[in-house]
Amino acid sequence: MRSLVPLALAALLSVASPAASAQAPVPPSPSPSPPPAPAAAFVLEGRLLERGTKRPVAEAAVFLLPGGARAQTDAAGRFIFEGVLAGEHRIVVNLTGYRRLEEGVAVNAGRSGSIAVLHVERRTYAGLEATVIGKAEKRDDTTRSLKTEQFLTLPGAGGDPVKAVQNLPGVARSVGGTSQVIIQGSSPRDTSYLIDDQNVPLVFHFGGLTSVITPEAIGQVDYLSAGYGPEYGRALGGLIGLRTRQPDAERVKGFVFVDTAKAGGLIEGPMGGESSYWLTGRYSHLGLILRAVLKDQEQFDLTVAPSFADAAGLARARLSDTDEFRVLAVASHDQLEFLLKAPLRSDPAVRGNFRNETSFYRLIPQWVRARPSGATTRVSAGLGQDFIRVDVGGNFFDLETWTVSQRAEHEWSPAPRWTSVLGVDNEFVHADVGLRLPNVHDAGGVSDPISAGDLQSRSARSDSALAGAYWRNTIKPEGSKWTFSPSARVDHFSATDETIPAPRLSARFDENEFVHWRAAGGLYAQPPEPQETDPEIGNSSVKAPLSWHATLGREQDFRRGSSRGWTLGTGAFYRLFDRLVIASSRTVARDGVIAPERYNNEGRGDAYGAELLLRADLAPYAGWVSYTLSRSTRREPGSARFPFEFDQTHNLNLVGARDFENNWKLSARARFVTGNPRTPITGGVFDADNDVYLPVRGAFFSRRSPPFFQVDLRVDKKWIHETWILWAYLDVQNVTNHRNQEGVRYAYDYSRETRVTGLPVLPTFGVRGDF
Amino acid sequence: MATWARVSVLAAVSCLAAGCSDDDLPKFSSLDRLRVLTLVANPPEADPGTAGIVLTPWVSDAKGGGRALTYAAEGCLDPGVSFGAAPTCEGQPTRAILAGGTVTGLAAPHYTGAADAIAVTLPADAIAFAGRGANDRHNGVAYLVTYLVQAADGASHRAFKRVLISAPAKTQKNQNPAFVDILADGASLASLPGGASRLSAQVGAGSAEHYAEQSAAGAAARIEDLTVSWFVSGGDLLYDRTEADQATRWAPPGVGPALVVGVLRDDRGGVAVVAKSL
Repeated sequence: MRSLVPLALAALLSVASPAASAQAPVPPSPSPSPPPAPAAAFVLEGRLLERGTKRPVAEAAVFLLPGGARAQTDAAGRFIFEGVLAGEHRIVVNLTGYRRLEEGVAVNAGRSGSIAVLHVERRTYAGLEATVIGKAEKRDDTTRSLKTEQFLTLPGAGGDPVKAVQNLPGVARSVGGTSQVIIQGSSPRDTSYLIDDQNVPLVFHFGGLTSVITPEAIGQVDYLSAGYGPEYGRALGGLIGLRTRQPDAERVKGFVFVDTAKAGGLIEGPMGGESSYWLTGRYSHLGLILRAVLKDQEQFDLTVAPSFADAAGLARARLSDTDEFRVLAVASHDQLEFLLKAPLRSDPAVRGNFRNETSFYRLIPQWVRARPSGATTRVSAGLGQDFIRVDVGGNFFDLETWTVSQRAEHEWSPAPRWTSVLGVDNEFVHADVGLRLPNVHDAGGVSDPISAGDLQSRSARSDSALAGAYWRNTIKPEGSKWTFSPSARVDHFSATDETIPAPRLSARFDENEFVHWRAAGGLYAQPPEPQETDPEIGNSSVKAPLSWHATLGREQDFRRGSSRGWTLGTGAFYRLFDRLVIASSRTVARDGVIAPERYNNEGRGDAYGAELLLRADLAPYAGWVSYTLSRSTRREPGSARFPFEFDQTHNLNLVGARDFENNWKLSARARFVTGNPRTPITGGVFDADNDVYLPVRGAFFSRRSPPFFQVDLRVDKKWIHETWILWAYLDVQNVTNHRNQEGVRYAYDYSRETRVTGLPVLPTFGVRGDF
Repeated sequence: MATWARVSVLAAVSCLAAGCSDDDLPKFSSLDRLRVLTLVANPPEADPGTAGIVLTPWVSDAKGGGRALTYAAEGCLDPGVSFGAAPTCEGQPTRAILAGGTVTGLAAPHYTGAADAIAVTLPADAIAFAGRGANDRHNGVAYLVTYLVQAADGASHRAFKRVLISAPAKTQKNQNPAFVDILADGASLASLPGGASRLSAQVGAGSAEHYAEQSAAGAAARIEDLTVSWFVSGGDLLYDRTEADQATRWAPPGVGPALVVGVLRDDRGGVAVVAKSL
């Protein structure tokens, strides 16, 4: 390919300047023979683009040999040499981070007005060949962020931004095929998921398969843990915030991909002026594979293969020097349906047709006004609907909600060293719910069979409002190494009719330019689940659970201004949980009538631990070590303190990558995690009405599963063509085929148990073309 | 409801992943240990204070070789088993000792069948319905009967059943379904089949009753859903449980004797049993 370039250049070069030729001085004649024709001088124009991405390379020096003439590229990558003599020349480009480019060019009379295009190849190509505009917003020292290029090629995570977060300290390993993020001893339900600061009902397809938005559309994923700031609330554990990236405003580009589970693509480009867009979508073909593999089963028919689809689009417009408007649309759909040919052996209520359909969409307009004074106003909203339908035989759960969420904040400086942010964070949900299903008793992490529950029917319309207001202050006294953030948040939950003031305080001490200390704490409240406060199937007296957080951390940057080196973050956290909602088997009198209590607020607990994150950027090597040592316990009336279901004493993640020549990349991840506690079952009691056995539980969470160990490997290779890139990867999970226990399966009468192990060696292959 | 949805989805997915198999765990349909197959109450629903309700335990000790078994039965108002209370009458104010002694009626070669019947008297209105609302009185308050059977070597099995106590004004109380016969390939199962057969239940007309369920939203018309649980002393059974109008496939053992038991249930506590010794 490269050998053709000189020919192409020769054909495309602009060559003209007759006036200059005519006026060229005539050299002295060495002999009486006729003087030679004067040497013609030409203009040589071209463009310098990055190979593969077609991105203009600006402010680059381009040399013309022989002679050593130098030209500088402009913002569009254009360069021009004047007074070039006819003949053979060589163009040389030698830039930091790029491979040396040296191309031959023949200059002669002929065409004019054309532009030669040179493609210079980067030494390494990051995961995403996209323009990342803007700087990561990080108000909160407790926030940890992963950029697109970090999560996209992480082994074992399949390029998923949320799964990648699970490699950070403080995040427990999820089990049983889910990928829920479990933060610092909290429950999975204590984690809230946001896209562009607006709450979304789910972040994964099928509970853990992959995120509901194309990873390449995400510019950054934020992980907020203990002591997070007042801008957010309603989450005892923390938050995962996906921030969509800005589209490329300079040219149309995109990619298409296909892997073993799904296919999709993304396109982006300018819309005129400073406006731009991106559109993306994915569709899963996993179901087609499953249908082929699982056909002719005696126990079930896969009537609708499991499938998911998602789509998203973003438009961005620069309205003025101070105003920017973005609107993001996100939609997701999951569907699975099969027919059980006979009732499930372990639970006869699970029979007949099984159908699960989950969809949601959000329209998220965002407006930002950044005044020259530094004051900034941000307003955004989330408008959408959620649909959940689960059918099991004659039982069903049908939910349709309309959600309007809204955030607005104004940031300004009341005084020279004082920044203030005042904002509101509201959400209104209207829900239509219909259900006919048994209440399922769950205690000690062990559920009774569905068959044993009392059938309950409910059809209701409900409105719930979550109103929040916050005030963050950041004060940095002059000459001080301290920065203080006394802040507060107030939340009102209509479901529990509570208004909860929540003080938050954080402080930072800059020991020097490269060593920082941080401390944060506060009160956090979270609304109960809707069914817990329902007057008929729950307990309308249930209140919002609370949690106090305290955290202390230290960050040290050993790079000391260099781009290579180590960084070390260490920290400790403590959480005190109060008023946790737990299931109750008691009966109470309501309006003079005996009724099951179902739920109450008598759960208590705490969690504490220490964390470490050691990062290395030693090109061509990169990686990190994250380790968490933690303890999380719970208490319920009538039982001693017991380990929390997701308590994992040790959680060690090693992630490493090496870039090789010719755009090969090898990366690996190793994980070691203490096994989760579990409740032993000492026997079963036969429920003769429902034809199932009820488990007899031993001491709650008094045993542990064996430790989890897994190594994942990933190989990426990119073929850089002039105007496009072909990217292929092989991601192999659990390369050592370690048989990790993910659960326990019991005999019908709980007289015996057998281990349920997780994934065997699981290779995933994908290819992607960027244009 | 989140728990219900989670349990359902996980059960379904694990079923898909594991081919709905139980690996090498004991099979539900195998008569290979001491167990109670069902408890039949006749009638399964009655007025408060009703006496003479007959509760018949169906017990199997097929591998027990005729060893001596003892039993104990107690009764009390349901402490809230479906909401997580332990299924026991211990400590309950309405606890009553119903019966106990040596199990009789289990004969060779299968030692499986109806054991000693237990007489149950339901609590009076003032006790059964104390503090109960109109919906509970109509739908029924559960009277829990616990049954423990054990052998001298320590093997034991616990079971329980609810007898519903409903208001006298509710005249159409639940009745046990009628299980007429077990059919093999459409004909009455009378002898050990020579090969794999389709087993099905012949159910009496009207067994699936219509009834009204009351809730805060009002009365809802329902119809019972009948299922059959199958037990065999040998051979391979495709489905352990079937809908009442569905068949299972049984590959019988090469030689007898063999036992097939079918337990027909409505979804309100009504039960009927047919056993075939082949």
